[in-house]
Amino acid sequence: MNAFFRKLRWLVQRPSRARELQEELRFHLEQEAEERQDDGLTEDEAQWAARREIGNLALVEEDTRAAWGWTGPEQLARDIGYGLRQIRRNPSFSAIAIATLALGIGGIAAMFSAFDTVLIRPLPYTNADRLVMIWLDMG
Amino acid sequence: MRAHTPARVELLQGTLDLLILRTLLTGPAHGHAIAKHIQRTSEELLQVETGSLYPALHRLEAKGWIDANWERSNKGKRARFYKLTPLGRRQLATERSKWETLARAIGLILNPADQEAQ
Repeated sequence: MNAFFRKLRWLVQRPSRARELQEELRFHLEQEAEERQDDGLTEDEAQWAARREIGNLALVEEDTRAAWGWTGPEQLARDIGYGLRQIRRNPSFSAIAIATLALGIGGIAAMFSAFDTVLIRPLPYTNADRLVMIWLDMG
Repeated sequence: MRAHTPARVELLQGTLDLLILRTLLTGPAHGHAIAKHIQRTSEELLQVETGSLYPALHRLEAKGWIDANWERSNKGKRARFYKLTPLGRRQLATERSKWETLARAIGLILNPADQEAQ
């Protein structure tokens, strides 16, 4: 099967795959502990030794999940979610911040569009540089 | 308890995939068995870190070179067994010849005298 479709399927199955990964690593840990018990360690010692061998379990899980792809989009979704939660948590601060940004951006945009038409863009007539202004001075 | 083992060699980047594929050539195995097989077969010179093994296995699975299924281990526990796919078999052949070419090339440079003597 195409690798892309496999990854797409894994995206949908992500929660169940995460559980399976935990079970897979738990099995590894049990195997390692059993092997150490066979080497002559007590059950407790063997379990601790196995834990030390495998290292940071959460990190192993995370690195393995990264192999499934989608880590970038997932992190982006988490960041957006976190941002929204922060906005909801302190609504008055958020309102002021949003209003400040809106006024700032709006003001600058309005000023720029005025400058743009008046100073930067040529006038909308042919040979605009040959336009002259004529007036009467009745003084 | 592992102090008797000689100094370990760091795995070169990218060689773990090759070793995993080669290990699975003899038949399906779960992660722990793969790690132990590599360790034992290399006379304990190569240590496969859990933190590199499982990401590598899942990466190979994502590429379609190996396939995973839950089966019972010889002690009756549920374990995730990996097996080589036809695609993985072809990949193993490619990686293997690449590695052998590289090893030969480096050997030629490190031991020029040997080559001149022949």
